[in-house]
Amino acid sequence: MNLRWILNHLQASVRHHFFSYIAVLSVMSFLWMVGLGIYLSGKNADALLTLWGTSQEINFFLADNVSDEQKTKLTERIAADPRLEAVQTFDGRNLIQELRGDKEADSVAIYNQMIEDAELIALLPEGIQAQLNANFPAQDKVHLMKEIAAEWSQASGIVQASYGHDFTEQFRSLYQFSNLIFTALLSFLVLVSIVLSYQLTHLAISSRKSEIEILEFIGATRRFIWSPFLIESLLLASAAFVVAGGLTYLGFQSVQGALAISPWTLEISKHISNLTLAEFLALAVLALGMSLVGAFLSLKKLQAKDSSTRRLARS
Amino acid sequence: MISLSHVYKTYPGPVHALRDIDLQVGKGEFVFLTGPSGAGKTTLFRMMCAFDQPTSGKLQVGEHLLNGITGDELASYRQSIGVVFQDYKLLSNRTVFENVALPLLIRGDRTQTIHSRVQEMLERVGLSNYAKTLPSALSGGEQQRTSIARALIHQPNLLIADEPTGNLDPDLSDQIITLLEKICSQGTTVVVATHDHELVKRRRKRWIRLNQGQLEGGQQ
Repeated sequence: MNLRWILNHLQASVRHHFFSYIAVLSVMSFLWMVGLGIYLSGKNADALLTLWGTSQEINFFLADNVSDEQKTKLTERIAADPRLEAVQTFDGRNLIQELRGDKEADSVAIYNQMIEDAELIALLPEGIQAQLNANFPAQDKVHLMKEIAAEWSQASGIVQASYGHDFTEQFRSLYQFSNLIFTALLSFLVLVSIVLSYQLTHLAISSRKSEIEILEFIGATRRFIWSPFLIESLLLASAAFVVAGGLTYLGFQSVQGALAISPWTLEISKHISNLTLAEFLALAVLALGMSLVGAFLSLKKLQAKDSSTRRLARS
Repeated sequence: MISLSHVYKTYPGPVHALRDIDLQVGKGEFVFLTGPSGAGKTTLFRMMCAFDQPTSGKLQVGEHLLNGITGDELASYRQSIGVVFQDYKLLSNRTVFENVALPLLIRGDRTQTIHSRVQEMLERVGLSNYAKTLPSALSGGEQQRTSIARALIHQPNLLIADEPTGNLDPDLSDQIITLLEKICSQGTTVVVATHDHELVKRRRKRWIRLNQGQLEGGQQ
């Protein structure tokens, strides 16, 4: 395939369909930017869930009638569980201290009074707190916490084992639901990019029907006729993907920068990650592949519908 | 070179475009295919170019059996022949040079080979000064010569022309036919479909007459 021939083809295409090309380029760039955004959201939602899961503790609340001796034995048993570490006991004071945190001075004074209130402290639950062994893979921890809590809540002297169960479950189901939506959206985007590419090639073919006919008459092979169209589609898709990739990268950097400003979100900003080169290339291959599929389908339709033999037979 | 045996062509209707055609054209021959409009000349031309296929009968050109020919074999056959159309069928957005170079490009020849052969061919048909001109800037005769140059650039054994002088005045018509005779004298088989009886009479070549889809007679 002669390079000059392809260049001439591209030049003519741009000249004849400049505004269509710009429109398709813009729509494709936007679509793939959304696609990349969806991919990044999915990727980082998993990272955030893991981050949240690893920072959680499991609280084993003790029954009211548990003696100090029983409490010590339970603490030893929990400490012996290889899945757990940093085991410590807590009571009403610890709970109030935790609630007090770094609240404003007025609130702190109230919490300080509460800590001194023995009756109140006696009413508040006592328990044992533990964290998951750090050696477990982070993504398994939420699931493990659920398992450990279920297991230990059956133990004598423990009335409840809590790890923020409801929130975790909600978060997980929300994550699974959003994954479903993201997958559906990505599939839709893939379909739209195929349709766009199909339409663009169809447009290019329509304006070159007589040229294709002449090429067929003088013995051009399918490869010779199709190559410029496929290359055209590939180039446009590449340009759109580079634009989409660039904008997504900049968007992610600015989100990460914004998160890093606040101490509350600093940890999140450290744990979210941008596209790696391998991911970018894999997604690029997917996007370009879809464009090629669209262009190919359009050319196949041309072959089936408009072969020179049939057209001449009709005329 | 060309062999038709009991060839029929029927279009839906039914319209019997060709009926029981038996025809042999030898290698290096120059043959006029004549007849009035609607006689079946163009149908026969299309079938020889493999743009269309017989409803029944056998059509063979060289070593290619054209019945049912498709795909790469069809492309290969079309690359092996030269075709000249009444309406030239030049690519309007390509220069004369690019149009003439097309068959070589399709065949995958090297750029240098293409360049030298196209220059040589343009000189042969008297268009060397128009290499960079677009077809729309050429006269009818010049466009037809460009079309002939394109049909000959890959040195085919067979040249098929459908009304190559149909849009030209008598002087230009003579020039074109003289050019085709010259090509024939160098070993290329030439088949020219035309309804111009005067032209055929003047040339004293073999002619075959078609009427209502049937061979009516001819002269060796």
